[in-house]
Amino acid sequence: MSRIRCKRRFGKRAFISDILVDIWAIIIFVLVILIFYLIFKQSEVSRRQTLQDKQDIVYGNYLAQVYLRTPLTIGTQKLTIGELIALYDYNQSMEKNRTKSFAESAESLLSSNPMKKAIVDFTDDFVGKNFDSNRCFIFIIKSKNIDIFKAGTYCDATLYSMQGMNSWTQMYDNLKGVPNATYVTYLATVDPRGDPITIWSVYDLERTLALYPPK
Amino acid sequence: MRRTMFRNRKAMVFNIMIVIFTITILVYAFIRLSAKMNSSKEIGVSEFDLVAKIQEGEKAMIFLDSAAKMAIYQAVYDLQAQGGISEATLCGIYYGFNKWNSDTGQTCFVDADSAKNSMRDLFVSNLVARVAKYPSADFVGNVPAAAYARGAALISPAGAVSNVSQVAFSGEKRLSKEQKDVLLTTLASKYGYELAVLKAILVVEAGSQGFNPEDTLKIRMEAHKFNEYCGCKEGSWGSSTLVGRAIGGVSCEGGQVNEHLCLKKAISINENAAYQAISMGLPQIMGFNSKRIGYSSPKEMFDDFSRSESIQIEKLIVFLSTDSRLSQAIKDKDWSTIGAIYNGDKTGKYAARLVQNYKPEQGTAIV
Repeated sequence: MSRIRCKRRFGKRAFISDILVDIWAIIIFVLVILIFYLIFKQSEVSRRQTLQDKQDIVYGNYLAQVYLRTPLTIGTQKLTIGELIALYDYNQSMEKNRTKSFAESAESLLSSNPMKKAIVDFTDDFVGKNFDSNRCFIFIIKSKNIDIFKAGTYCDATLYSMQGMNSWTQMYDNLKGVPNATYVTYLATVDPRGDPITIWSVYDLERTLALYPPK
Repeated sequence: MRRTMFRNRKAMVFNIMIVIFTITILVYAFIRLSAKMNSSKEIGVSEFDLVAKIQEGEKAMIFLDSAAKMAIYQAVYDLQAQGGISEATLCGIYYGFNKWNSDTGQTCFVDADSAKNSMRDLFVSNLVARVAKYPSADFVGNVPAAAYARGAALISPAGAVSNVSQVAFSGEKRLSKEQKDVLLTTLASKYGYELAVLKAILVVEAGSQGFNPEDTLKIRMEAHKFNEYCGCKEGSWGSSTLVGRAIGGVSCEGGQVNEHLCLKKAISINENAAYQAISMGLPQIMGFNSKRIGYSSPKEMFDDFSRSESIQIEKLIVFLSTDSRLSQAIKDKDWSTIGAIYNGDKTGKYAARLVQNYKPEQGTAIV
């Protein structure tokens, strides 16, 4: 009934042109919505990535703080792992060799000293539980007499895939472009003449370097 | 027909207008959002920056906590190493350690208040020394100058001088001008003296050099004192009036080489009297004061002074602080009294030389 009325009122030509216009309008409308959806989506993804990267930096620092403030009981003494590290640093000297493989470094760290063993064991446990093994994280304790290096197994593949960065030395060079405040926490030494002990905590090295690309 | 056409056009215009309107709104939104993204930080970034700033503060607190603990441990150690008091006492010092009993039977026990004050001073110095090393914050901006100077001395290239005993073992024979300044600043502020006054004394006494170019200790033989201590008659061995200063015919005049030849001759006559009769090093303290500044003999003083200028400076402070009149005169800049007690000069010439070499603008790091 209604169709008959339409035909009667608008005619056949008007009806066809009307439908054509409607179809094109709908297609263009959908296209416009789609294009803008993609544009906004893309900008949202990059923004979310930036925020995610910032969050990772904050989280990396937070982990370092939690690590350093963790209380320990050594015999009858109660102290934090940070204090234990400072005391160990003052009392020990060990050969530092950045060119050693990780396995060799770990082996040398696990030698006889019980303070050292306590630090290394605790660090292993902490890093294993708190860092994401699917990311390229690094956790380093570095001072005159301490050189503990923990890195995610994912790092090797990531590092080699990153252009112009095929070694840990290169990684250190690239990190120079990243503000220290984003990944370094300092600890005072027993000897005031010594430089502060540094704790590097990078939750996702790849993303940190993306946020602060090497110059 | 006319009516039909009119309705048709209206429908077309309506649909097209909707599309144009939507595009306009979206483009406008995009432009506005893009402008926001480009002109300032993206949404959420400022909030994360704020969190990062708070975290920087937390990290600084971790450093401060650890520095304070280390400082208190060190302060306790320093205090006990100095015999419970950081100031020199009238009982003297034995290799930097304040004695509680003097050789003459005097007692210098530590009371609770002075121990507390000493502990506080040592703690602040040790804390400042550590926090000054923190690279990301200025912890020492409002620290009093004296505390800062003491702390700075702990981490100076001159070596750690956290207590007087450590000064004696800093290892370097000659100190650079900067090292002397750091050491003098530390000790002067610790004992309440003015750096410029101490520097004036060292300039007048020995030209600020404790050693001669040939590495021998700078000395001056007082021949009349040699006579006095060896029991010799004026002119027989020692002479200071007739032909200038001389010992056994060997002239002490004409430079440091002759002074040492003179000393050698004096030693061959009477070793103890010889060492008692010479003034030594930067402060030119006479050998007969050896016990007062912590040595068992003038020979021991000579040997120790020959080791390092840092020892000589430390002993100057001990010498000054073990005479209350002299100590007060130094603090008051009472030049004539300083000259009378330190040099025995009552004519005012020594005082005039001190005034001439008093340059407070070169020593401002003192409270």
